[in-house]
This record gives sequence, C-alpha cells and structure tokens, in this order.
Amino acid sequence: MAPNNAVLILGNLTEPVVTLLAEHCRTAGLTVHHLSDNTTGPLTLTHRYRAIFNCYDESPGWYFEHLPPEILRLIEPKAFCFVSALCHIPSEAAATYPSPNRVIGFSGLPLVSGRPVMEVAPAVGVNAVTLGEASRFLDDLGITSIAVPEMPGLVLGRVLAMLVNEAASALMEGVASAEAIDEAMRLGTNYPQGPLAWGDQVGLDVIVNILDHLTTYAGAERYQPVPLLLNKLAAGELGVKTGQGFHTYGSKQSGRAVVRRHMRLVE
Amino acid sequence: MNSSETVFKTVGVLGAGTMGAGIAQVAAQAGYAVLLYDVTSEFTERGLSGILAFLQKGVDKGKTAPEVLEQVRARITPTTALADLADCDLVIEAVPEDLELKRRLFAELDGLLAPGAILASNTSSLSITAIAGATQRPQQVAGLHFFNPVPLMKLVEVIRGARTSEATVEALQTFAESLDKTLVIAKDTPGFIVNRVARPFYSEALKILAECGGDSPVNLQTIDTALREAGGFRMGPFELMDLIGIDVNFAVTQSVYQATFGEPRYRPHPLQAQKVAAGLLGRKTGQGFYDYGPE
Repeated sequence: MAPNNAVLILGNLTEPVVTLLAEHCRTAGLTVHHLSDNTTGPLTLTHRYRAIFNCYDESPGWYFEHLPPEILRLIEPKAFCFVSALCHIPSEAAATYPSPNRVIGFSGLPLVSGRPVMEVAPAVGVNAVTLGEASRFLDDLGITSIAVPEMPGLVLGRVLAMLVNEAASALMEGVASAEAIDEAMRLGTNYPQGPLAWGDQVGLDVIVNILDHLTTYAGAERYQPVPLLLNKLAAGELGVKTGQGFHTYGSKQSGRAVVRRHMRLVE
Repeated sequence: MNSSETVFKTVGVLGAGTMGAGIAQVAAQAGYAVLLYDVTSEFTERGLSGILAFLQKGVDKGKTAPEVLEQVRARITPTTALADLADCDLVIEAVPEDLELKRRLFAELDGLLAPGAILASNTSSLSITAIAGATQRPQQVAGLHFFNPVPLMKLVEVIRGARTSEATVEALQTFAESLDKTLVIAKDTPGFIVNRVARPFYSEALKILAECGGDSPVNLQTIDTALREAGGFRMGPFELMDLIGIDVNFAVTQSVYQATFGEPRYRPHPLQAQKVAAGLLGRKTGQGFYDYGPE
C-alpha cells in the first residue's frame, strides 16, 4: 500500500452511506480512517490522505477547528475535499476550507440502493481539470460520478426527499396504507422502490435533514417536513437502521430520538 | 361463455377511447361479457379494432393464442345506445375528465340499471364522492382507476368515496383480482395515491430547471440523467412528460392543485404552461422539452 493511499471520512450523519463508501474505498485498496462522534481510541496515523469525505452536519468549517493538528498535517495539499451535499452547499463549505478549489460536493444516496453511482457538484472555484481528476479518483473506487449543479441534496436527494414527504403526507392523512402507497408507486409508475421504503432505506433523519436545508435554501414552505416525518424522528424510528420506519425491519432496536440539528436556531 | 369465477355477469364500459377499450379488453379476456359504449359507432368501432389489433400483435409474436382473439371479439358488443347497458351489473365509466359529463351519465345510468348494480369511474382526477352524488346509490359508486396501457399495467386503484359501502369495495376488489390486476385501496382524495405522490417528481424537476438557468438541452439532460442513473428511475421527468404528453401531465397537476383549493406545493409551473400554450406537447407533436426530429 502506497503511504499516501488513505482516505479520511469524517462524521456518520448519513449512515448507511458512510459505511458503504468506506467499503468501496477499502475494496479499491485504500486505507480508511473514520472519525466521528463514535470513534474511540487512537488512530494509526501513518498515511497521508488523498481525499476527505466530510459527512458531518456541523457548520462547514467546523471540522478544521476541531481536528487535531496531527491529522490536519496529513492531508495532502492536493487532496480532494468531498463534502456531503446532503448537509452543505459546496461553495459555502469551500469558503472555510484551506483549499477551496478542491472542494466538491457529493451525494452517496445511490450507494444505499446498491447503485455504484454518486452525484458530484463542484464548488465555484473548482476547475474542469480538478473535477475530471476527482471523477477518475471515484472511478478507481468503482463509483461512476454524475456532475450536477449544487443544491441541498443534489438532484436525486432533493427529488427523493420531496417524494418521501409527499408519500408521508398521504400516509398521514390516511389515504392508504404504507404498503399500498409503496406498491402503487412501484406498479403504477414504475418507481424503482416505493418512496416510504426508500426513505426508510436512506434514513428518515437524512430525508428530514435535506428538507430542512431546502427550507432554508429556498425559503419555501413546500419543503417543510410533514408532521408524521417529524414524529418518526422524535420516536427514533429512522428506518432500516433502527428496525422501524414507515415499515418494520427485523428485530426492532430502540432508537434514540433525533434532534433536528439544523433547526437549532441561534438564540 | 362466462367463467364461473366472474363476479359480475355483464360489464358495461362507457367510453371506447384508449382507457375504455383497454378496460373492455382485459374484462373480455377474463371471461366477462362486455358492452362497449360510445356516442358514435365510429368511436366504438375504432375502440374495438384497436383491441383486436393489439391482440393480433400478440398472436403474431406467438404470445397470445389465436382463440383468445376470437373469444374477445365474441364477448365485446359495441353499442351507441346507453339503454343497452340496462342489464349490466357493473358499469365502468371512462369518458373525458369532465365532472358534469360524468355526473350526467351516472344519473342516467342510475335510472337504467338494476338496484344492485355497481357504478365505477376510471377518473384519475375528479372526486368520486362528487360523481356519486349525482346518483341515488352513492354506496354503490366507487373509483376503479386503471393505468395506461391497461393490458400491461398491473395496478388498479380502488377508490372509496365518502359514502361507498364496504360491500362495493369488496366486490370491486374481487373483480380487479379476476382481471389479474394488483389492487390498492385508497380514500377519495385529490390524485388518490399515484397521481398525488408522483407530483414532486415533476414539480421539483421544473424548479431545479428554473434555478439552474432554465430550459436548455444540457440542463434537461443533467436532471433526467441524474434521476435515471443515480436514482434508478426508468425515465427522467422531462423525457417522461414528453412521452405521456406535457398537456396530460399538466392537466393532472392543475387538477390536484384546484381540488386542494390551491395547496402551494401542487402549484403548476409556468414553464410547463408555456410548453402547452406553444403546442409543444412532447413526442406526439414531435417536440416537447426535447426535439424528436423533423416535423
């Protein structure tokens, strides 16, 4: 393993995306270091990082203020700084990064559905050459990249979050059962998955996070998560990862209630 | 001639257009005697020949037994006299999406049919409760919403109006199952399930388009490709609207928006309205969001 063949993943807000991304990296022969709230114990810091995937939902520059200097030192000057576009607008994040012209937003949502694809949205200072290099880096991980403009959730996340929200509103109003809603969308309009099951798979906290960011971004009521979705978060029913979402999965684990971090208003 | 598993003896289908003909076909294939009604014999004949042409293609491909075509031909009786439907115990209405027209027809049928007969509407956007209100038998009126093309799409939405009885829903459930369809039951609400939940697929795509510089081939392709490749959708929203018909899609959006008294998230988009106003309706006019070659 080349000494600079390491990747740093920060945060785990967007599980299971983070785990799947780490798997792709390891399969491609890269060393993966994963720092999150759950990380315990010292890391073996012997590699330089070729890329960072920032999956924290704090303010974009947060991790630079909080990363120990011994880690910051290991980030290659030309490292790609992939920032989760499920939480951040790439250009906003880039403003606080040491190398703004290397900041690229990404969405790993397709990985959750078993599709080795990611959308990428370069921050405003990123040139075409860098974007091409980043795409080839992702290719080497076995991931096809699709370039899209920047927006919360990127294209798929934004459309999916709204589909989940609408399906949730239909369920909330008692229009039909969760099974009926999902089956109708699969059979009636050929969606790859029913929206409720898809939301469960991606994580209802991830869906609400995208909706909250869209609400701020667009200043529009249309992105407001419906009460049923918020109740799910409060009950810790986040979908597949907690055993219960709109549907039930395996043995139910008790999930912690998720506080909508983005909505913690400045007091 | 009737299969002993059929729930109803004679099924009437009102409207021999694409949906009505498709419904008549699947009912006849399932063994029902079908009366196919429209206002002129030109329409009924066109509907019937469309059914037979579809089945002939199946025969030519070796997918459909030749006897099936003859059985279907024998089971469907075209008519332009509404009174001929008097003996139907189930009538499925598939006329244009005009509430007053449907209410008028249902009121007339209410007077013609036996007391136990069930009236179903294939409407995709109008209120079943409002249609039922034109009859003296709202308990026996429900929605039976098929999807285009009827012979191929397995889904049927069975719609419960405010006064629809459980017995009516059950009878229609059994009927839909006898057509080898998968059914879902939904309350009478704007868009029911599919047309409601699908709205953001189009509306959000239009908003993204407007935010990213508007209507250009690059932007359209970026959005369609992202949803196909990243999402796994069979078609992206713009190519799908071109296939369905931008006007058809627009009408559904308007219908849900109006029926919810202007719920903001269902608001139609000016860009879509402009396409319709320009006659750029999609594949059927050679151009929609995309260009399909010389006219």
